[in-house]
Amino acid sequence: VSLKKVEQVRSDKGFKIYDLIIYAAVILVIVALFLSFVVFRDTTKIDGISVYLKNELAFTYTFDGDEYNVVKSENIEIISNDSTELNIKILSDDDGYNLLTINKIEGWADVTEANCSTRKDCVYMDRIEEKSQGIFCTPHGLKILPYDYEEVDDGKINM
Amino acid sequence: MGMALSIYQETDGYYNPAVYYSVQAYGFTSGSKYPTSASGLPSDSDVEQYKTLASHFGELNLYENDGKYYAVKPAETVQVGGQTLSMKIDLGGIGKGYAVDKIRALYDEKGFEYGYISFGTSSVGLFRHSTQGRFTLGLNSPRTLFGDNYMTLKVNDVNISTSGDYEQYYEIDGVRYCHIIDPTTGKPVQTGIYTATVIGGSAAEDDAYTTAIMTMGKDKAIEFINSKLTDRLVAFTCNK
Repeated sequence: VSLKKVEQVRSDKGFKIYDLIIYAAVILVIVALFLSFVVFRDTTKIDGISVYLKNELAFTYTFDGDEYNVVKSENIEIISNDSTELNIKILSDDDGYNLLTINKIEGWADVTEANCSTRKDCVYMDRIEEKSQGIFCTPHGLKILPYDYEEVDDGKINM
Repeated sequence: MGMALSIYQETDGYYNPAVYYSVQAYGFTSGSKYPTSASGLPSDSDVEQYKTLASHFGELNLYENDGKYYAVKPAETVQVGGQTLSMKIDLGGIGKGYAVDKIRALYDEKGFEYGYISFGTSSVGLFRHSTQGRFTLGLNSPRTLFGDNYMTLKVNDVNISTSGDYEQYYEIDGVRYCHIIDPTTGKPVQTGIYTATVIGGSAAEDDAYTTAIMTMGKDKAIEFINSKLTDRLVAFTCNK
């Protein structure tokens, strides 16, 4: 490195105006994400859950009245059902499955086992307790959402 | 039925709804179960009989008499497993599109402008999106994860029909068996075309065209599209 270059680096300001703009933008994004995902998220407890396979409703459960509705009987198998837990097996194409546990006392739903991939993201995702939460299994085209969750119609249609 | 016969002729028999026995034998009719091993598949000789029966679809006689409509099957029969079989028809390749057309006509009559009619992922009738005007249509990639698109486009006020080998299928010994039957073999399509979409015409016609394209194979499909479907947008994916 030449002495001239060293002098030039020494004389430069630590932060130029464009650097500051970029830092400010990054901070704003972080703050916005923090507000939307932590501060302003909907923490209301769920009333139940809806299970979708490839965007089609397959199963619903509501805690009030302890009622379930098997919409796609070929894809839903009731494993066990007692006063505390409802366990179902969600069957997708190509011998895929996800096991879903619904805890009736504590009011949550969780995927406990699946054969979707080695990572099994759906198994490790947080269980659904609040209306802002959901569990997704992309390999099986599975979505588990709060019962009365309304998706925003963004005009996107897949076929 | 008349439309099915017309498209059968227009596609040189590549769309053929008389493949019911093959659809059933490969486990794709309602109440059937997919075979889990090669021993559960129909024998080549049985499939050959089903194919022979289906090849007579063009001889179907349709007529109207005194306000009633009749369809008379061809006299051809075949023997399979000691039973005599006559032609059976599966309108699954055109039925959903036909339903979209009928519902669309009712909506048009009532003056609806926004929304869409969907029969699964097979046939969709789009009006306009209530806020964005056009819909963003994503065509599913047939060999990747659910939700991936191989093409997206902005459309409104059109019908879209799609056929593919990636939703109703099973695999035995590395071979994929899907619900679309190739009338030239009597077996599930192995033409190398994974999915086909036709946009812009009647949903029923386009539904049948997508089935025909799946069974044609790449070269014949391109020839057919360029000669008969020039007023539509057609997309398909294949293995070469």
